[in-house]
Amino acid sequence: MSHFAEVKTKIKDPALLRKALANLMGTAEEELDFSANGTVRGYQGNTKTADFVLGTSGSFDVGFIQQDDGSFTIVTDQWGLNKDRKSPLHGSAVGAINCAYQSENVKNEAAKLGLNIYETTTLEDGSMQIELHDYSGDGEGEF
Amino acid sequence: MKRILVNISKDGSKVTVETDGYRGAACKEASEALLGALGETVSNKEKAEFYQDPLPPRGQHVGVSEEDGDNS
Repeated sequence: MSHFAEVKTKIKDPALLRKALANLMGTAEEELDFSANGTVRGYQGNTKTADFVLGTSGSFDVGFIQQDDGSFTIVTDQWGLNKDRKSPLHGSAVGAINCAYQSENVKNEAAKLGLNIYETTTLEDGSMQIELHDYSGDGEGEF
Repeated sequence: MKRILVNISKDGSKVTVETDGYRGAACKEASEALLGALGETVSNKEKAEFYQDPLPPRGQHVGVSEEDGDNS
């Protein structure tokens, strides 16, 4: 091992977010109920406007509000979302979305850098591990 | 084999990046681009290999001549 770094993450790219949400919800991006400048449904009919909204089949949505630094914060009624035990958002919508987004973010950046995505594994503690291989400069593929 | 292990915490709030198989500063260069795109780096530690000399280019012979190794 040679280098180790820790990063505090943020959601920044709406296109990657959409892709991550589609993966998380197990649906195609085109079929995802994801819209800009929408209304988030919450407890007892309360609503909140958000820059992006993920609609769900239940009575509660997930909103994404852009901050001054360009990143997005998540607004939702987790209690309401927890009613649907089969939903991938059950338990921790914020955590599940953050994790799915960062996974897409890593894969996207790895592709830009020419790194090979070797394996994606969910570990026992619920964290996700992505193994990237770097073949640059080691002569692989040369004859 | 040079590889980068990325671990995303269960709540997605934290990502750790660990490089493996790189020598010298190449490990830092390899991870910096990735780190920059992921968020704000809160800690950064070099491991033993960071202080090793990079491997010579392929085909380059490295050796120590008898004259170089004897200063007596």
